[in-house]
Amino acid sequence: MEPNLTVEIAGIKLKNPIMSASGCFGYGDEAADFIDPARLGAVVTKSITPLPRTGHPPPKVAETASGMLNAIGLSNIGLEAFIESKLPYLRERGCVTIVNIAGRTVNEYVALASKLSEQPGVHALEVNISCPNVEIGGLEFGASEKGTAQVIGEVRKISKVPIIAKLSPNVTDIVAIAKSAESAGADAVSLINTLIGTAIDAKSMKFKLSNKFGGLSGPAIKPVALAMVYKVSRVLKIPVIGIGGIGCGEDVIEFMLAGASAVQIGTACFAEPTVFDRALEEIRAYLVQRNIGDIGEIIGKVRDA
Amino acid sequence: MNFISLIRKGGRRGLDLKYSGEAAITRKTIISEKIFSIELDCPEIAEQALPGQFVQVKIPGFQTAIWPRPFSIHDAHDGRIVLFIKKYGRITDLLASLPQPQKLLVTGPLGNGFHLPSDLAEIILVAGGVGLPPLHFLCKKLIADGLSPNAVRFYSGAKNRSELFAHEALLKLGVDYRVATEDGSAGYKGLVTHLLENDLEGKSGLLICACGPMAMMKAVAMISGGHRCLLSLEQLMPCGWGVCNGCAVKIKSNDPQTTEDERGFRLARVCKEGPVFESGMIEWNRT
Repeated sequence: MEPNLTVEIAGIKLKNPIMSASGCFGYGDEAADFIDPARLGAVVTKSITPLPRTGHPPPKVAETASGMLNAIGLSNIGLEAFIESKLPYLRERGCVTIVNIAGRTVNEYVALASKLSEQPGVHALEVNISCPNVEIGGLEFGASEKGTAQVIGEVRKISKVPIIAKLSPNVTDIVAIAKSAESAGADAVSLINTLIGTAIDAKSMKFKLSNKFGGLSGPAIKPVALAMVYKVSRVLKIPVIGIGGIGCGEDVIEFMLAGASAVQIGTACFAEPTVFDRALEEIRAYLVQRNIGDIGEIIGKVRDA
Repeated sequence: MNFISLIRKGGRRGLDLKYSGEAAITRKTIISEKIFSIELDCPEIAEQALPGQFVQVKIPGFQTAIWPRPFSIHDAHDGRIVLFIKKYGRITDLLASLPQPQKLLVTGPLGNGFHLPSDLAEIILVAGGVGLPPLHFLCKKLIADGLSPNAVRFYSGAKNRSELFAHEALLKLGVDYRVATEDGSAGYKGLVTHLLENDLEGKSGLLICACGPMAMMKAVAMISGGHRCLLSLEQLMPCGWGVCNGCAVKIKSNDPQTTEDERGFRLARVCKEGPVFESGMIEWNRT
């Protein structure tokens, strides 16, 4: 029998638990050359800021052992252009669309949430309080319980759709931050954003990124992400969305066993924009083989070694 | 020329138009110590590949290095694509040593390709090392679409004789084909850009297409002042399909598809707005 892959996050029904991770699937249209974005559980957009941003100058990326660093710097087309030229496409295709928002101030987050949450076709907002690559905003809020509560609380007041707090691993205690997001009214949390790192070229004696530091992603960070998803999901009542180095069906299963109700695939879709389809096939096979009728049955069911 | 209508199809938008998935290596040919070619069974890409476009190649499941590697398409026929690869590092060494029938993860065709004027009368193609494939593909298509071989001059350069390839194919096309090697082990002794420089002396208004290392691209751009010059740039790319912005270079451009920047230049993605750029657009001091 065909296993049930649908999951529910903050009242939104997803046809499957796999979403794109912000910044790795654009606005859904680039990937349409390879895959119908509506086949994803949800499309999470690139971070949207009030005004367009070019981001950091090149070089913006560097390959590292089992991972990569990026310092893109939130380059995006800005709120207005997104609503005019990108959102209609996602709406027409019938995608569940989660818009990731990034502000420099609490007011900017509020303005973004106010405008975006009333647009038809926006199902939820993912609040990026964890971008490691901008000087103002981002991690400035997500690194403290107080800052997290401030942004999430204000966005919660104004937003007409569910809000997901995207959390950073670059903190002392991610569980405390997650609890703070929950108390402030987050409907779900997603974790982890990238880990701060750098790369240096011995030959040229230079940094490999123009911004010096970047965010580490890819298989290298999966163990860190799994541990954080496990710890956070044990104590939160709201759902946890797992992110970090997911590249196949087995990775998805591992995150759900750890306690994630859904997951996001980021870096792996660069090399393989159809990774979502393949991972879903692998999940189906896994569930069928074990006679599990509903993917929801495995959430948080990891056992001691 | 129907070739022109063919290349205009690049950049179209839709669903599932391009391919990303497994493709089997159907042939591997060792050219020399450093150079080898692979043929991949991939009709989805072969049928729509245009000269100047590239594919991203990754060894499935290999997680030590996670980015795919971009290779320009050398030839596409009968459901197969051909790539020429230079052993340059870990990944290319590994690709060279793979047993057949290994499957690779292949994504493409990617990039804009060469957009040529419809009244093309004469063209000069300049290849440096493994920059040759897109120019071979272009040359073959142009001849197949009716351009006289006499209208094409093809200059191929390499460090030495062992790094030159596709001789027979180019000779067979009947174009004016000349080689240059830095050590003089084959053809003209010196840089391939010297051949171009001699050719262009006293002329104007010609069309030049070139692909090779960045230093050579810069030299070609300088030599080609007064002519139209299209350069295919090389860059490592995390995605190759326009989404990550990792391969962005700085260009002077009014292209609305590129992001505006407050510092007087724009960023263009080599994988999407390129890899072929008008030489005059490239911001050499900043790229």
